[in-house]
Amino acid sequence: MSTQADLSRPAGGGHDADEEAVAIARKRASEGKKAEAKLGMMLCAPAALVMVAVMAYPIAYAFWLSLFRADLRTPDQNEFVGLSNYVTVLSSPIWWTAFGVTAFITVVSVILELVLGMLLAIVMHRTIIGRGLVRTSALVPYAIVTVVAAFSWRFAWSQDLGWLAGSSAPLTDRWSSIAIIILAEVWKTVPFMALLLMAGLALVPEDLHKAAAMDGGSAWQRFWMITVPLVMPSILVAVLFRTLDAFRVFDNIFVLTSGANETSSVSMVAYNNLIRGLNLGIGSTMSVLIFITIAIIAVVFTKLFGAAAPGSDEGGRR
Amino acid sequence: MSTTPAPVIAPVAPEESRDGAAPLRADRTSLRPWQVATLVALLGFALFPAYWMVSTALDPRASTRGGSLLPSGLTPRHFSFVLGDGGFGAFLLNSALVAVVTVLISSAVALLAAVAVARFRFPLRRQILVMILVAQMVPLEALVIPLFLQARTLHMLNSLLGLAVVYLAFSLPFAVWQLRGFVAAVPVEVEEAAYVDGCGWGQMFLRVLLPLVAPGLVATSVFSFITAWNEFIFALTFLQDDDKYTVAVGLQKFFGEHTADWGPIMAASTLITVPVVVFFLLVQRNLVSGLAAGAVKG
Repeated sequence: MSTQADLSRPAGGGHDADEEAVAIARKRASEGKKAEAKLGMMLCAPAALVMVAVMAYPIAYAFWLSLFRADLRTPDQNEFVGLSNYVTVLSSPIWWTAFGVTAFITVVSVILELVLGMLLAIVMHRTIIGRGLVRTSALVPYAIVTVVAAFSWRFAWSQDLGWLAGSSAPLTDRWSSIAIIILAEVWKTVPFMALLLMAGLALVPEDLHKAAAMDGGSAWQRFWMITVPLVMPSILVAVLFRTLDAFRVFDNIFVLTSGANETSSVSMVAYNNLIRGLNLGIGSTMSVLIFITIAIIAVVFTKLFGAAAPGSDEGGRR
Repeated sequence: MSTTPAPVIAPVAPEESRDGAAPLRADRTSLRPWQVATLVALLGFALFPAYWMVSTALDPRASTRGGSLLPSGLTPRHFSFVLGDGGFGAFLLNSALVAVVTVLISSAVALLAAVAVARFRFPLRRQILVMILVAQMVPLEALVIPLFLQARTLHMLNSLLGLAVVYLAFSLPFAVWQLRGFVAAVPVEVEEAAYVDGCGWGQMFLRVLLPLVAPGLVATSVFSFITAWNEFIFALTFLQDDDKYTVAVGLQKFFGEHTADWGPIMAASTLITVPVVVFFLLVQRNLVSGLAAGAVKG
């Protein structure tokens, strides 16, 4: 590329590089401003194009489809129906049952993950001997493919065969199925949560703990009054992303129960509308409703926690 | 669960370097008994199901093992069945192909974009950053229907390439976000020195920046790899022929209508898990911190 040769970074100034060369570089930099803009856009273009084609466009398409009766079984009867798909979905007990199941799984598993993840983060943070080994072992569940783990749990809870089930058959009952789905979710993501929280724990100065201990603060008091406030940004980021993630739960339910006994999540109901029902209009409406729910969760989080929310501090990394 | 990692996981390196620098850690070494107990319990909770998977895969009487802690014997029978008659080798190959294509393209595309947003000022820069953040939050499961129709129109259904394109898009936001941090961590002085020495941008990129962000590239690749290797719902909807299946979909094959052959399922599960765990081990070793920091001195 011919423009590349003109491009230079503006010099930082005051560095012990050759002043004359820096001056030249600086001059070239101002000349190359346009070239910089052009190169910048060219470098971003592939990534931006892929994201628009595979994410932005489909979202718009889903919204468009949700306004139509679009049934693959009766393609000649497709027509614009306005918001009537939304009325159909929002007045359907199937949707609301799935919504309730999804919300329940999300809330319970995120709370459990936060508590266990915090415990794991604290002990991992304090471990020095075998630190790498401990960390790698803790990450094993995260490295196991969700479907694989789900099959393992299904095996474990199979009647008469599994190591956890004994003679009971928990996957045939609604609430015990949901409990097992939550167990599978929690098992898989506690390490991930712990990793996020550990990055936050590394920022808590040991001095503060020492000072507080000297003033007679118990470990419990120090945890709540020093660690928690300082780790709050990491906690919020972790909880937000896990909430958004948990709300999309699909793989575990698909393998564990296939949605039997009213254990379908919203993602599963939408998926079934495509694969089993071939009803694209209704399926797309559900997809749009999932988007909206996710957006509401994200906005509420950001509004509630303002400055501590992701994006305002580069995702809480520093 | 989705496979998109949050854009906030610091790769282990930066934090590790902070730990190393922390002067006050003497009393962090001492774990109280309850903490040791917690650690053991949580690690047990994390590792035991994995142990169960591997030991069942090796158990000659896998399906009737029940609750016994040790397998009734050791046999490679399930593995050879899975790879032989089960045809699981082809699924592993398909998955590897999709994952490698995803990782290679995603790393290249994401690195270029990361350099641009970290170093250059240009129109639409802000918009692209916002788009990346929003893309992180998009519930991919809800894209199944529109993407299915798009892929059908483009004749990309039942194609591993079509799947790779989808995974590429899913892995990009996180990869760009991560690499942006790694690029920003390289001191501008290092780049300036290259310009002063007469390098053009392209040369500087290849000879100076690329080696310095290589550890970040490895870390990011692991997450792209996991995205592709782990993904289930799109593979399930897109792929129609057995010979195109990826591992997550292929696993279903060992499930009969009413019976499940647990030995082979656990053997296949083990085969799926090993590459990812190996990748994780690699990233731990590769994330040598302080490489960029050291480059400014001298």
